Amino acid sequence: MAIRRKYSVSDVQKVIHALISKLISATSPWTSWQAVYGYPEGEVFNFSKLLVYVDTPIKTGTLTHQGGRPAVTMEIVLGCWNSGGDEGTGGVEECDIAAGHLLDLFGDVDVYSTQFTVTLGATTYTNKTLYDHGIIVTGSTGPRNIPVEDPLEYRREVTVSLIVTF
Amino acid sequence: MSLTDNLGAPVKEVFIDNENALHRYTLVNPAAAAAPVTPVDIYGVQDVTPGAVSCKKTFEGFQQGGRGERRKIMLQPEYNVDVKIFLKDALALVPALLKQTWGAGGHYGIPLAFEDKPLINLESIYRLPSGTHAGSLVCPDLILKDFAPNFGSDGHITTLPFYSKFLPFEMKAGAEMVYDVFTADGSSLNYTLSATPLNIVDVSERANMADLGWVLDNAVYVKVRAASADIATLQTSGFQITGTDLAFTTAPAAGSKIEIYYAKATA
Repeated sequence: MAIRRKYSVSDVQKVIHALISKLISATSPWTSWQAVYGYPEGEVFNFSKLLVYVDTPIKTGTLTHQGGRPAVTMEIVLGCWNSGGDEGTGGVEECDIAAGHLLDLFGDVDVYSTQFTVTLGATTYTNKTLYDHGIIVTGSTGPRNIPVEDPLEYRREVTVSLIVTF
Repeated sequence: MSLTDNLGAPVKEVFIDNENALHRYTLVNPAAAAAPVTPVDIYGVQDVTPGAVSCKKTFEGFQQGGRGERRKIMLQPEYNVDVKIFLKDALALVPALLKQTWGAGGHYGIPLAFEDKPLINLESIYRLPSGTHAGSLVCPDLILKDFAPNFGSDGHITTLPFYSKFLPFEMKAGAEMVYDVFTADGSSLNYTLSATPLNIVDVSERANMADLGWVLDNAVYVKVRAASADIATLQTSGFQITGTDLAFTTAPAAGSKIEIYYAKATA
């Protein structure tokens, strides 16, 4: 039960980012991409690898039981952003492959088998799984095509539904 | 416990998704004796819904002239178990339950009429999203009542209606069912079980629920089935289980099958 109720937004975001980062550090084809915490900001992007960004989770509801506090349902947007011009590699197909991997990752019990390390507050949790953190995945949808200005730039977004327990 | 207690949020272990359930069965009276009989996974299950247990006979006893609490004595329990399953998987499962093989070397058609005899022991297993066993529901000795495939708008899912005369029970995480079947040689008194049976709450702890067939606290049933017989005889005496030793006081007849259904700790 690592997620703190009052810090649930940033804790969940950090945990999902740490999970994606672990896959990107070790598992093909994730190693072809790079993970970004939060929405990527910048006037001009110059990245050689496709970005997988972990946006801010949104609370969508509660799961209650009588007599006490509820668990929380959340949705988190995971984006794939392939840079335009000569910097991007793989084009639209690469973006769709990344989106497909995100959809499948959060659509199967295999999502609980990856161990990763994350620091929440002052505590570092070493080699824990998503389930160890009390996060249960209930589904993934998408990808949505996000319009971009550069003709050789591609963006997709996947939404992952979670149950967060404390 | 206080009137003003505020409970914490439900823990993660309470959230179990559809895909975390696994249903498997062992054939009652399999073609070949084995200890243990290997369970078979069932594909395509959408839902397993056991109904409430009802008893065919009930008696209510109280003493005339007194004010004792009324107590009901219940006999001959029965309950229904509806298995909702993809039609394609049902068409494969039903012949398997009847020990038939489709196609080459087997049959190409089966009448949809079924004898009133136990076909399977059903074990419905619940696992946490992490894969850890969370507990199981066990329905022994299921009898298939009928099977009417539907071709409606949801025709890809059909219902297999089973019932049983043997009480269902729930089982603790970390335990699983074992079905051992031996062929008696007519002289041996002792048979070695494939695992050490765990204790199960038996009828002696449920005082007014006699005649459920649970005669031991570490086996759901022990049956002896005469050679080629459809119906077995539940054993209620003349044997005991110590560790993995199943010991009879009188040797079962040669060629008969000894069937024992019990729980073991998962290795």
